[in-house]
Amino acid sequence: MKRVFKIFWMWDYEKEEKWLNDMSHQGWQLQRYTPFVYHFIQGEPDAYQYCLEFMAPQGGSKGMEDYLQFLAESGIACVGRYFSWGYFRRENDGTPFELFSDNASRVAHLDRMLTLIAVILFLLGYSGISFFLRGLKEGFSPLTIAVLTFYAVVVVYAGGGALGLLRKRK
Amino acid sequence: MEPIVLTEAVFYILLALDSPLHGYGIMQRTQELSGGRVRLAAGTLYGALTSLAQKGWIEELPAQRGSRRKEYRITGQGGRVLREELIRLEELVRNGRSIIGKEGQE
Repeated sequence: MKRVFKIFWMWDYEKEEKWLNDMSHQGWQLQRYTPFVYHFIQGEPDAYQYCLEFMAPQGGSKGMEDYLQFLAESGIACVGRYFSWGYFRRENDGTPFELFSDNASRVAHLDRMLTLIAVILFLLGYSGISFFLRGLKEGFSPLTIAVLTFYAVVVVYAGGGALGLLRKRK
Repeated sequence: MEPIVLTEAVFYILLALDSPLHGYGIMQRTQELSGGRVRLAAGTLYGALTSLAQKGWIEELPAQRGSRRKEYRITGQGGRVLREELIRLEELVRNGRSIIGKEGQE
């Protein structure tokens, strides 16, 4: 039994999936996920396959319950959640584990993430601009500079992530 | 009126729901019918079932026997859509066969 602390950006979810499946290959099965902490137990190599989804089923929290129930009936267990992100596993059946089988639903999935990133970028952009304007008027305090730098870094990272997702969308 | 064209996934879901089935049953039946060619992944299937139910082409059956497994069934409207789709596909096959001929089949 081991706990690993690791942070993945939202748009690197495929990297995260690959990591979980690699761990499974080494015999470490993800049992539970709590924010940024992965709880593994030792088991048969490749016993389980893992997949992540940024969920948005219709019908609010009841819809979410329904969806998780539906997945459970298909042999897909939820081992953890982080807001709308679901961490899923199923017993290895020899075929790749995917939650989506056609491009329309894959694109919809990517669009959910892109929408969230767009909202974040917009809010940061708006806030950043007002900080900047205030700085121009009142001078740039160290705090203002720190905040603006932080925003710039996030924008660059998120923007890069978004471009990656857009490319995948094609 | 715009002709409705069904995706293979929707076509097979409607076909499979000729008798009431739950999600996993739909996946299996579709695999059976298509000889393993058409796969319905759980996330995609759930989205499709939600949208088909909204359109009124399928309906959810009340949970039975205390089991929480929800089953779905095709509605009259869904049956009509399926039959029209079959007519459309038959037209395509007819024309394809007459122009390309049976050599198109391998």
